[in-house]
Order: sequence, then structure tokens, then C-alpha cells
Amino acid sequence: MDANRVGTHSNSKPEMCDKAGYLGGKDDDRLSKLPDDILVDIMSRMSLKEAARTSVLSSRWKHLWKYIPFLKFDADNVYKIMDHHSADELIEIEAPKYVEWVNSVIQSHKSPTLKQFKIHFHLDRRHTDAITRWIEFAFSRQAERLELNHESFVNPKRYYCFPRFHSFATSNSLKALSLKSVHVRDAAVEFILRNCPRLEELFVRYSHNFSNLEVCGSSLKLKRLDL
Amino acid sequence: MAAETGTPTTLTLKSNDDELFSVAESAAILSVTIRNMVEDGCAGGVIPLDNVDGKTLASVITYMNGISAIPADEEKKKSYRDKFLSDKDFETLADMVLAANYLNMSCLMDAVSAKIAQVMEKKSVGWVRRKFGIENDYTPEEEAAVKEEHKWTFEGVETDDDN
Repeated sequence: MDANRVGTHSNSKPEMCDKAGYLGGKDDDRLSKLPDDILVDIMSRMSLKEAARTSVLSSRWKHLWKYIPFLKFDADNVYKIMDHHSADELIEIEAPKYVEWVNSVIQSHKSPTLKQFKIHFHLDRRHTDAITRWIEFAFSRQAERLELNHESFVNPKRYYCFPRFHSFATSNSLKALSLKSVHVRDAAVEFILRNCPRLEELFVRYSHNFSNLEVCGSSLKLKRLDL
Repeated sequence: MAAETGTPTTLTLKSNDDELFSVAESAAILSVTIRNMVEDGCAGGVIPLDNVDGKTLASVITYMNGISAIPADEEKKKSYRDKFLSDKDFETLADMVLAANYLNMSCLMDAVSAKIAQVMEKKSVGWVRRKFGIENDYTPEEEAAVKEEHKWTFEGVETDDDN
């Protein structure tokens, strides 16, 4: 399966060109010389935390991570301490930090469009203002996937209530919307269905308020509806 | 496109350092750039690839041949890609991601980008700098400021003394 060289410049097998093992290195910094879009693509495959840490490498890297089109706010470190705290305690202690984290990232984020915006933390209606602002942000960046997962053990009486949007929840980009442990009213879903013509997946879990939902829209592309 | 009868069509590709390679058209058209040339009828003679050197092109062609020999089985293709990239040094990976981008080969591009990301992940800043030869051009004050600004990214990572 070797490449079939026609020229006479080299007879070595292609595999021989690649020294097994180490990561080149040398003096020339090929990684930093890659074009921005390729570096952003590479960073898009990391967790948000890993991608953002590259800012410390050198000035070339300082702002690059702010262009990744995936904002996945996974607070994995918090789940590790979950065993030691009740859900309420956890919310009290960790939620303000989480909110501050999300706020600071979206404040400095520069990608004009988003493939994914994901919130995964035990938040409830006490954080309504922040959550609603994040959703507005996601819509303003034409997010294709929007996920709010507030964890099932949050007291349902305290669920964040998905707003009945007026203007900004109109999106030609939104393809998937996933809401867990969020109060979602019929009217909000109906509004989304009517105003997000590209929506293909709608997933609502642990919401107990549907009574008389009307699934309709002028050009529904919906492929999966899971309520 | 490939002749429907007789021997498979072979293309000749030329790297930017004037090496010539012959490759089956059926494998070469994994590159959308090359496929477009073939479809436009511009692939009769030698196809010049101005952004790819001979060493990288040899690797890419090895990949083209290898992956196109695997029938439509995503699992097997994936394991071929993993094996193909497993012994590549970083310079080769960097050259290859550029070549894959130029040749418009999304499957190779994805695999190489993922591999580079995987190498960088969970490593200290100092480790990444050393391994990839990244020169730290921050002043100590600037670096401290950037670290402070991104403090949250260091949670759960080994402390980095930059040695």
C-alpha cells in the first residue's frame, strides 16, 4: 500500500519518512504556524477548559479559543464532590461560581456563530436572569444546538421556566433544542416550533406542564420529538 | 471519472518539490480538490499540488490507498486511521493537517485534528510548549495576567513549573 513514487528523488518508503514516536518539536513551531481556522478546528475537539488553557501558551494563542463554535459548559469537577453535599448545598455553593464562569466566557467569546451551546448544571429559578440572558446569547449567535440540562434532582417546584420569547427566539439556525429539568409551557414550545423552521430535534425531559400542546408550523422539519 | 472497463485509471500527482506519484484515480478522488479537477477534465497530465511537499504527499497517498481498500465499514476505517496516525511525529501531523485542508479530505482532516487535540489535552502548558516547540513570548507579567484571567482552566491540571 505504499505510495507509488514515479520520480527518482527518493526511493524510501513513505513510512520511513516518519520517525516513530516523538513529537518532532525542534525549533520551528509548526503548530503555531497553522492557520487560525485549523487551530480553532483542533481546539473545537477539546473540552472548553482544555481549549481555553491554550491561551497561556503564547500570544499567538491568546484569543484563538474564543472562536471555537462549541460552548459546552460542563462542570465535571463539581460532580465529583456531589457525593459529599446535598443538591441544595451544592447549588448554594457552586452555582454562583458556575454562573460567573459562563458569564465571563460568553462576554469574551468572539465566534459569530455557534454550533452548540450547552448548559449543564444544577440551576433553578433563582438563576432566571442569567439563564435567560444565556439563551438570548445563544440565539444571537445563531446556535444550531441549544441544551439546558439542570439535573433531575433539582426540586421541580424550583425549575427554571423556559421563557415565552417574543422576538429573539426566531431562528433560522436552531436545529436541536434539548431541555431537561426546565419548566416548559405549551405556548413556549408552540412558539419555538413556529419560529425555528430548521428545528429537527426537540427533546424535553422532566417537565410536567404540557396540557394541550399543538405541534404545528408552516414548514416543520421536525424529525424527533421527545416530550 | 474512472473508465468503466479495462484497467483502472491512474493519475500522476506532483508535489511542490517536484516529486511525481502515481495513484489510482479511485483512491485519489478521496480528495475533493482532486475529484473536482478530474470532473472538470483537468486531470489528463500531471496534477500539480502546489501546497504539499513530497514527503507529506507520500504519506497522504499511503492513506488514500489504505482507506480506499477498506469496504464501507466505518469501524474498520476508523481503526485504519488510528493505526495510520499512531506512529506519526508531530511535524508530520502538522504538515498532514495542512495537506488535508488543501486537498479537501475531510476524513483525514478530522482524524488528524482529533489526534493533535488528543495529544494536547490534559497536558500542562509547559509540556505542550516543549513538545511542540512553542516559544513563550509573554513577559512574566503578561503570562501571570493571562493565567489569572483563565484561572478556571487550570482546575484539576497538574501544576506547571515550566521545567
